Amino acid sequence: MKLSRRHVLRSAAGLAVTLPFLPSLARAATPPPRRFIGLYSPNGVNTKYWFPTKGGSGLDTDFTLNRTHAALQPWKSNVLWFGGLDMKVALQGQGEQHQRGLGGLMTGRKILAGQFVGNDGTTAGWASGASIDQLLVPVLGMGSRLASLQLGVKASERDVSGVLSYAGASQPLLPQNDPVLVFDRLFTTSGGPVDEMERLRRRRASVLDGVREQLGTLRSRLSTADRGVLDAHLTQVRDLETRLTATSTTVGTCNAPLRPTQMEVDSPARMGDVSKVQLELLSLALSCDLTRCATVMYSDAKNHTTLPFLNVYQDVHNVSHMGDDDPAREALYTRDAWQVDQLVTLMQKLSSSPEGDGTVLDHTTIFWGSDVSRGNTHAHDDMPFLVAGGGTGWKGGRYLRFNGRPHNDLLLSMFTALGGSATSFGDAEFCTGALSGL
Amino acid sequence: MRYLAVLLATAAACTSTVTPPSPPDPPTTCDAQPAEASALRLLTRAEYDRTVEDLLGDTTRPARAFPREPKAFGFENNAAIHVTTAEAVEAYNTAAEAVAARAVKDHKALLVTCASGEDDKACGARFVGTFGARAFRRPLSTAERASLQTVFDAVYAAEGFDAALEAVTTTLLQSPQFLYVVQPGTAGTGPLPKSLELDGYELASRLSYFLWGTMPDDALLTAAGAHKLDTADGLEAEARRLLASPKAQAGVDEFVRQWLDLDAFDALTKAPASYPDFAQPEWNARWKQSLGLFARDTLLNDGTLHGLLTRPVVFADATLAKAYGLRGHTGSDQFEALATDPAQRAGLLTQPALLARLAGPDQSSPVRRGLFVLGQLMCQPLAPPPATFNIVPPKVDQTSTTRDRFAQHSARAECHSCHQIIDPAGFGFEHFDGAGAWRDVDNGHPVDATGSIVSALRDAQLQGDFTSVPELAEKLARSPQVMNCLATTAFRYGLGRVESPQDLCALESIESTFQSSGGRWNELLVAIVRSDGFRLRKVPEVSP
Repeated sequence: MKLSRRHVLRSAAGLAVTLPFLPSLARAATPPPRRFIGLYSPNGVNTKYWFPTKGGSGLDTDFTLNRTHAALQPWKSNVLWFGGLDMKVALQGQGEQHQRGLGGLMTGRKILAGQFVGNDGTTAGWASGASIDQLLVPVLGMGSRLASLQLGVKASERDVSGVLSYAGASQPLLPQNDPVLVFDRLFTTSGGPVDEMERLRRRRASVLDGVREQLGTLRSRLSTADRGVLDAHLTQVRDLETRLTATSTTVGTCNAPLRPTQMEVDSPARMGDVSKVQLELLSLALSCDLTRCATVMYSDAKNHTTLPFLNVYQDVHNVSHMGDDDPAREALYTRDAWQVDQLVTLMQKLSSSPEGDGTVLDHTTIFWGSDVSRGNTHAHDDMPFLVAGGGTGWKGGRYLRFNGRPHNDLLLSMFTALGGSATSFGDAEFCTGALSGL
Repeated sequence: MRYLAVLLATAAACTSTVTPPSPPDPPTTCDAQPAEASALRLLTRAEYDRTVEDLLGDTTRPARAFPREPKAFGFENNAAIHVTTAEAVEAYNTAAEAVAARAVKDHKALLVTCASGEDDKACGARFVGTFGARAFRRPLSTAERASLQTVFDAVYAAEGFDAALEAVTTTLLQSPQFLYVVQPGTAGTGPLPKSLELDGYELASRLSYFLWGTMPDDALLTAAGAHKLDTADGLEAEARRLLASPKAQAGVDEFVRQWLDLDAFDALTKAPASYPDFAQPEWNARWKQSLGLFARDTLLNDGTLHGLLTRPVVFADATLAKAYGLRGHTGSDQFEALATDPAQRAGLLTQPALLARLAGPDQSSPVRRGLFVLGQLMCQPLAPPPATFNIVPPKVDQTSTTRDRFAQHSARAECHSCHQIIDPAGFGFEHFDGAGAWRDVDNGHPVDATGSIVSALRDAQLQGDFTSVPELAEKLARSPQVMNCLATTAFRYGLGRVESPQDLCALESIESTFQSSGGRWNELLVAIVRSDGFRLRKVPEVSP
């Protein structure tokens, strides 16, 4: 059942499907699209082995990688290490630290009141605004077939502890843990002769017009709150209609890989295998320009899981609580190093896809964060953040330390560097302006 | 929110060393208006799949591709938090196109059968009216019908009759009248001020999704159309018909899957070094099936809370029977109901599967087991300690018992205030190891499995020591607090929302009916169906 890399990559001649987009290779004439990927791993890191050591010169390029980042040595020039950024948005408010940290990580916003019971018994609701990946959709994503992708690797919780991306306040986008379903969404698309496509487009227009009318007939009988629900639904149908019925003038081909084998995606034992396929599908989706904005959640903020594929049979959340010098905390380093391997895998895949003068990685920004900095204190200061890839145009190979600046400032900086227009990001009280020296 | 209030009161109690007496319930008046509730509840994936099966004979489970529903208090049918997303709407479209195409190809008779000599236009109009009504679970309004007819006409002109059937079906399957259980209610003549009464069709859908997990059958829709559901007695009669139907099994399964979080078994692991016989991944499906069968069979056939908590039966395949030392399996490849030694195993709390889940990968967990009793069965969850506490369960140690390690660990003053309530309940389970197997010895020391319910906020009788889980189960099975807890839980599931203060009266009446029935499951469901919460809605706010 194990899915080999070769297996996934091999493209069967009969499976090549016609998709309404240009392959990246044929895109040389137009400026390459830029992309954003948000990555999440839970409960902070083993900080002892995380932050680089600064060199004597004081230059931000003068530093030695710590143990956890050994695998990033060959990729050093593609990565920016951040230190001294605080997730101030998560310091207080509804919910507990893990909920607040996850809810605020990509949104820069506090979480709302609600009924989700957190790790410490307090209750909370969803995040109170859209996440950066969603805010970047209109900036980066126009023209790709899917607005965005939310992928999960055993992201089990189905409440604020299990959601990284938000379309807006209380509009959670739960990640998809099953690569087979991701594959079907990306690659099972109707194709065929042009007149057949035209017929389908016309039929879809009739159907979705009908659906919108049905939404309208129901609306009058509803409360203001319920009308809001239907209006959001209506907007989503309208967007779908626009995307499905758009007349594509450029039809290219992108070879679909073989459909992945069905896996026990909820089993901790399969996390390694699932991650491999999810990252493969993600890089294909970006390289083929099926989407430009994505997030990947590893586990969730509760993270009561073992990692059998790493020979870790303890509950990782509990391990994250252990003292800095407890030998059992080594398991957290093992997890962190594996997460670094996943980042390296993703960068490898993206950099193997040529585009314009460089590779897809050169036009992609990957932001990796967690819900707390250290599990044993549940702190939100000195967050372990990395930014990789060339989408922002920032020079890599540097370790930048900031003295307690809010992480909203980094979100703002990424948002504007990727083409967004803003002077603040998330809750304004936790944003002091874009970071300098990037 | 009485139980939420209790939760908070208990959290406060954890900071003192003495448990306060039960707080008095807030005074209730039974002429309050109904609770605020959404008129729209999105179908869950499970409901969608069973609905397209009943409506169109489609058994492909297309909704598995939909985004997962969020969960509140364990239930995935909560209307307030389950909303559409761009991905969901895209997935509805993909599923609707595929289901409609299969229906036209394989099950056209379920859509329409044109009479001989009937022209396409007339047959199409008939299809829109009759099949549309089945899909929307009520007759169409004039506007709905006209809009669907427009779709039919446009596609008929371009592509012909079958394509028009397919397009209308695709439209219906994406319409909110299909995707949501729609229950706005209408101003009625009921006794409560500012209330709306759900009409017969709205009640029919609410009823069938509650008791069957799927759409109403023709008889239920006919009863709705004949105004037979307009009275509580008429609604009860239909509820009893549904409960007596074979389709009630799927309804029980759906409640059990969510209430007992059967899906959590998919994520279970046991450390091979600690539990070599239970570390293989195939155990997850086996445990899940064993627990699900026990709960289903007991609720359907014994039908009482007492049976659920005390029935000395485990459903086992040959492997499970052997691993847990259960006798009487015939050696077939089936799960069989095996009688257990009632002094060791009786009821839900002693099911091997549940005990394996309420444990760590490498040791048992008195904390998780205690919290299950207090939270799931007594609706008295203890707020865990402030998150600044550094909570680390004791490490496995080959020289001491789990009980000693946990007791020592919780001796710290700040831990003690809560763990003095949680742990004693869980210590009573120490004859069951981390895989749920019986043990008399833990790391070479005899097991001490005396336990205690230290605090029962709504039933002082429940407090006190016990020496075995079956003894505890017998006490729980007779406790009004446990009955009321199950009533509240079923209420949340049946209404797709968490109770609010306006529901107190309705809940009290449900609880008392359930208690006087001797804890009969079907009587609880019927009491919920008869309640104001089920049949009425508050007049909603509409901004101008």
